Amino acid sequence: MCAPTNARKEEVMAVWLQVDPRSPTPVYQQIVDGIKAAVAAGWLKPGDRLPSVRDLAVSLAINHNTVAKAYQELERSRVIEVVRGRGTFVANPGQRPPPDVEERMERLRDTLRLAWIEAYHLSLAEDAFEEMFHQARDAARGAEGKEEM
Amino acid sequence: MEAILSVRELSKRIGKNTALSAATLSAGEGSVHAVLGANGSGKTTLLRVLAGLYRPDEGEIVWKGSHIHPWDQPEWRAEVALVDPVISLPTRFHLSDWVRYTARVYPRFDAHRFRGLVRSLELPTDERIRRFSLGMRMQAKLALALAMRPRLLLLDEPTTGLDPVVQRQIWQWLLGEAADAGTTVLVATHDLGDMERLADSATVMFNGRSIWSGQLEDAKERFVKISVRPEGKRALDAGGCALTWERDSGDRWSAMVERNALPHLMARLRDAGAEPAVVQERLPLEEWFRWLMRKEGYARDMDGTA
Repeated sequence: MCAPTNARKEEVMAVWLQVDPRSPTPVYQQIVDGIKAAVAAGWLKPGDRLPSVRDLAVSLAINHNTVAKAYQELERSRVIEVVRGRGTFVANPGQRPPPDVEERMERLRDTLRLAWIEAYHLSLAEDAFEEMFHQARDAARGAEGKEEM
Repeated sequence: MEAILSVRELSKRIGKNTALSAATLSAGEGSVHAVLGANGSGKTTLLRVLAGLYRPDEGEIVWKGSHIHPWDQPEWRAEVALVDPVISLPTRFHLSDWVRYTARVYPRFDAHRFRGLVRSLELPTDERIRRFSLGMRMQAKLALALAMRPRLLLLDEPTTGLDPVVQRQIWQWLLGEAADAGTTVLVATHDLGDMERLADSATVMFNGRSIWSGQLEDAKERFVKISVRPEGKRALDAGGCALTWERDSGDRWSAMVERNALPHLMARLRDAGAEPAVVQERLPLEEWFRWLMRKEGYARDMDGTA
């Protein structure tokens, strides 16, 4: 990220949070995914303040109800928290588990099982698959991007 | 979202033309509502009726739960602003003089805001409007409308003649206005790409009627596109499924269907021994719009197969 440090958060966010209204993924879901990814990569840290619904909507030039829906979803899954009168912040992970934690764990197990099945049919050796698994982890953690920050 | 504006069965004849024929729509407070339609579908007439420029022959308009008659209620002028590419500004005036005049007529006119908008648009206030380009005139109209602080903002093709940079700036202002002041914005436009990101809800008009109205997200959820081989098309046609087909590349045919009709259509294909259909979800607005038009018999294709 080469945004100047004094740039407003919503301006910085608008740089990496790009939405494509023509994509089959709903725009609010793209925002949810984008913010979750940014938190996992460490671009957004617990306690960081997020732009208001209004400011993010204006900077991305999208409808504010769409951003509001994304924020609601992120709040429900405990990625962000809204402090009345103060703003919206990145939540502390693990402080309060998301309400649907069991269901999401189950989905994660399914995803991993499907990945193993796919690896088998690609004749991928176990260690090569594990290597791929670690590369995916580094990509999600934003390992390359972090050194530049 | 509760509707702040409801238009019911609005009809208007202009000369020999039926410009509006039982047009119906509703928009939520602080929402951006797109009025979409082909040329001559009644979008402009609808906006002008709401602005009080035309008196409709029939129908009713409900604003915040009360019936209103924009055409003979002068107080409505304070609530509404219309930006229309055809209605022109007085070209002999300087913009600064015209603003002084406007400020007297509109009680909520915010001169401070107007100056801010004009500055960021880099519009000259000390030149006659006659010397303004088409795009500059449009920008001046938009700045005036925003400075009136209307509760209902009616925009007819508001980005006509504007370059993409200014277009985005204008949309950002409008989004901010809807979010901050709860202004309800009705936009008549052909620009489906813009509406895909900006609008909450939409009404699609054809020949003066509203042929679809609702939340854009619902439109994306509810309709899917199926694509079949010719034997599949024959099976569905024979089964009495009235679908509007479009020829794809190769030997496939596609049609838009409601999601809840899918199981029935798939069963028909299975019974006829045809290959199942390929289903595409969440289509771009443009494709959905084209299909709605085609269903109404409006198509302009190279091969003319409708």
